[in-house]
Amino acid sequence: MNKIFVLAAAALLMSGCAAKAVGKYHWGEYSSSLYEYQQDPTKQAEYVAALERAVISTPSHQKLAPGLLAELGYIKLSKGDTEGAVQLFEREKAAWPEAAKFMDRAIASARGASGAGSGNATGAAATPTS
Amino acid sequence: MKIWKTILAAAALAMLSACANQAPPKKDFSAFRDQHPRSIVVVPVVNRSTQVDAPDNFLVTIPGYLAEKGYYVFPVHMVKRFMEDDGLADADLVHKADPVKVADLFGADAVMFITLETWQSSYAVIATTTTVSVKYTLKHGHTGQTIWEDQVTTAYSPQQQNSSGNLLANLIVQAVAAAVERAKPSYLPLAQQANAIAFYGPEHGMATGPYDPLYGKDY
Repeated sequence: MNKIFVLAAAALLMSGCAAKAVGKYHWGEYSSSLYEYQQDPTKQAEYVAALERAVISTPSHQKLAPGLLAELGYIKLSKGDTEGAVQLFEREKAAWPEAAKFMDRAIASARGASGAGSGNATGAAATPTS
Repeated sequence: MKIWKTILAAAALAMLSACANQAPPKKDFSAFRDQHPRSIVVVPVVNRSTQVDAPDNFLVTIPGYLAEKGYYVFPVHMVKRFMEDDGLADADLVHKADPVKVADLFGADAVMFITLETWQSSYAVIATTTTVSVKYTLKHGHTGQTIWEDQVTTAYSPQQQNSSGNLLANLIVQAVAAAVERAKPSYLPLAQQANAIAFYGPEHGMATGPYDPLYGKDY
């Protein structure tokens, strides 16, 4: 049994099938486009496009990777699309209950910033100290 | 998704060594048993290497590995910007902060601290090898305890990826690849390699998270 497993794994690696192995999540080009964007801030449009493609084109047998809806929401917020951002934060929260507190904070800060127009965009509590 | 190549390579290594003789000593995951986190926030990476760009570039490779391991991973770019707004842009400062308070900012169950110790390219005309040394520490967001840590040192030579039948062509390709690697080290493949080892490699590895069927079975 073990031998078959090892041979199968070796065959997978050699055939290059490994690159197409199905993970749990659909990531699209998130990693590489964020990398490019960090190297060169003028590549923001490509980063946004990669996120949007990933969100729209998630295959039916996979779930969209955690955090991607929030990342897209954050960029939309930075470009002034508050309602678009809030919708995405809500979607992230619905898909991932662990994100609830952070998404609530992001939504409050998005609405607060656009409503009151205050300079401090976050409703953060005290800065943590050791 | 490219990370699967590295995950399968690391997993195959683990299986091969397990089959060859006795199973390698398994890492102790008992610290996870009573307080298994569901979510992990990855904070800015501390840089002790000479490559200024390395930490941000390393950060983008982490979510794939942790999430596929079964954890909810907070969006790294958004987290980084929120931390900057909170006055926590400096990675060294964050690493000294109380992990319970850092976790509380995001509602995270655990905080991942990563230190890039070295990121170094050694150059010989037809071969540049880049070596990285990374330390990973996972602290629980409610207790502040360290529940997992790992240290990885690994190397990457892009020249190994190329070969044609023509010896001279190979040498030229290798020389160019070596020069390019020296000028602009390949962050992504090496970072992915280090992560694959840390989370999946033999004698490394991390306990499986709640979104994976193996959750709770590898303590």
